[in-house]
Amino acid sequence: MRELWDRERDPLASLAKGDSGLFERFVVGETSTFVGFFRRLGADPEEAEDLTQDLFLKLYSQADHYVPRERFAPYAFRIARNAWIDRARRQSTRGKTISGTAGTGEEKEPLDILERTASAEPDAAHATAAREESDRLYAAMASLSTMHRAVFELGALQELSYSEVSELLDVPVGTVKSRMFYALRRLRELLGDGTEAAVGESLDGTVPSARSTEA
Amino acid sequence: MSSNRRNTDRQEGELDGERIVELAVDRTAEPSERENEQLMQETDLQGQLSELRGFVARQREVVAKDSDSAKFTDLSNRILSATTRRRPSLVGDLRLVRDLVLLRCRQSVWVRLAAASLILHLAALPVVAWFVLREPAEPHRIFFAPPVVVEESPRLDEKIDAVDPDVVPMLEEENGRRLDAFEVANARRLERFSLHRWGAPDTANLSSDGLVERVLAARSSGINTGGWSELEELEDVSASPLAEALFVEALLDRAVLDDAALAGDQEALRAALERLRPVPSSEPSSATPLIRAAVLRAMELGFDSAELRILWRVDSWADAGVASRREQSGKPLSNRWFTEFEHASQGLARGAVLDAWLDGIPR
Repeated sequence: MRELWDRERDPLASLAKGDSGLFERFVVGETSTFVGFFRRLGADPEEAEDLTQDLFLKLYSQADHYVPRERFAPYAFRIARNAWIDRARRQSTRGKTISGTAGTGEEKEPLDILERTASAEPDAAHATAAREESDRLYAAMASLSTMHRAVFELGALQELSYSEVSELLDVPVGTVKSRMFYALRRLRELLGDGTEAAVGESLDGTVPSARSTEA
Repeated sequence: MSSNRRNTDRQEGELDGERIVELAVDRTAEPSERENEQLMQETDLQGQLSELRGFVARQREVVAKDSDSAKFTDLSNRILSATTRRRPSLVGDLRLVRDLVLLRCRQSVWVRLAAASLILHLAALPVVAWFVLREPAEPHRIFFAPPVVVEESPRLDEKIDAVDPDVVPMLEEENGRRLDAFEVANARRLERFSLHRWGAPDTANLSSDGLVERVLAARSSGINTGGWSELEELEDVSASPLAEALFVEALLDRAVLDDAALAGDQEALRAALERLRPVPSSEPSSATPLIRAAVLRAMELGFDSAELRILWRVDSWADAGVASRREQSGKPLSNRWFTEFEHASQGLARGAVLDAWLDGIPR
């Protein structure tokens, strides 16, 4: 999220009171956030925009019945994630699979991106550094399982607290911790952070063996 | 090797990998006092935490760069135009109006009351319309106007039928009769009004003494109460000219006030009128004016005959009416009549009834 959307700055509560200004600011400021959110979950650009538009329309339609019970940001991501799950169900009924699912052959393409960007010329990489970085991140995240990807996306990138991620995904906080641990380790390996050895050594050594089976 | 050692020696409440990741990722997570001490003592743990924080920060930065809102301006505008900036189209967006109404209803109890009232009135509208527009229970009245037959006015050269000269006297006589009947009815109406308006002196509880007083008492009773039994019980009044004049006046009063008695009194009146004779000038009598007034009143009220006209020297019925009005000032119990009556009764013994008539003269 680009801004802080909490109970004091709740776009839907404000909309329910007849003030649409905050909601409009939320739309303008966070459209890119949700497009990126859906992209990193595995949607193609066009699909991510459609999902984002549907998300805002859904939020807008819920304003009449909205009762703020938590921070607005987790609420918005809960709706977004449900939209993503609905999309996945729709696609599964059409015989399609969601791209980037760990353990499937589809993860080859994202990993290819990682290899290509890693071997690119320094000048070209510098010119398109931002684009490449995001592509590499998307590709690395696509190699994660859906569950790890969601935890990393919500907790690390969208900066929700562990407890909020736990409620949103309906899993215990301990599960969030372990999934975040493994997601982070895997991403650091894939993104070549320059500290691969240290990460592999140090974090591997500190993980309790009982939790490794859960992840 | 050192990390393996830490892993095996890790105690409750000490930092592990997941906790270090949590501290690096979750901004709400704060290290405990013991964890802080551990971080201070073990620099490699602190380094790991810093590296992790740096990695996460870089990824957030990558995402932030990629999430340039300017790239999605069109999408944002599309969303806004479908939500908050949606405007009713030409044909009207009923959904938007409904949403607005529901929103306002939720916000104000007065709006809810107004909406409820509006719904109630709208619900009652068909019922009211049915009452107004239904067929009337009664059939329509049909007014029929007969066609107007326009008669053309005679042309200038058209010959107009002239009245036969032989018929003219008959027409005049007929017109005269119609006029007489009208005048008699008019005179009766006027006298009836006068008698009802003024009435006669009240003698109901008074004892009458003498023929004149009995006639006066009978007249009072008849005029005031409508009971004419005393008049019918009177014996022969021919003994006194004054009593006879008063008797004729009483009969005329009864004829004016009681239409039903008029037919029965015709004969009695005619007989009484025949008995009244003009007093010769050689034998003047104080009752003469009253007698003449009674006869003229009778003629004016339709009790007319050729004999009476000749006897009383009245040329026509019209003259009788004029004379009567002159004699009585147009009223049967006028001031003038009472003056003549007072004069005529001077020679009589004053009883209670006579006193009542002389003292209680209505004006």
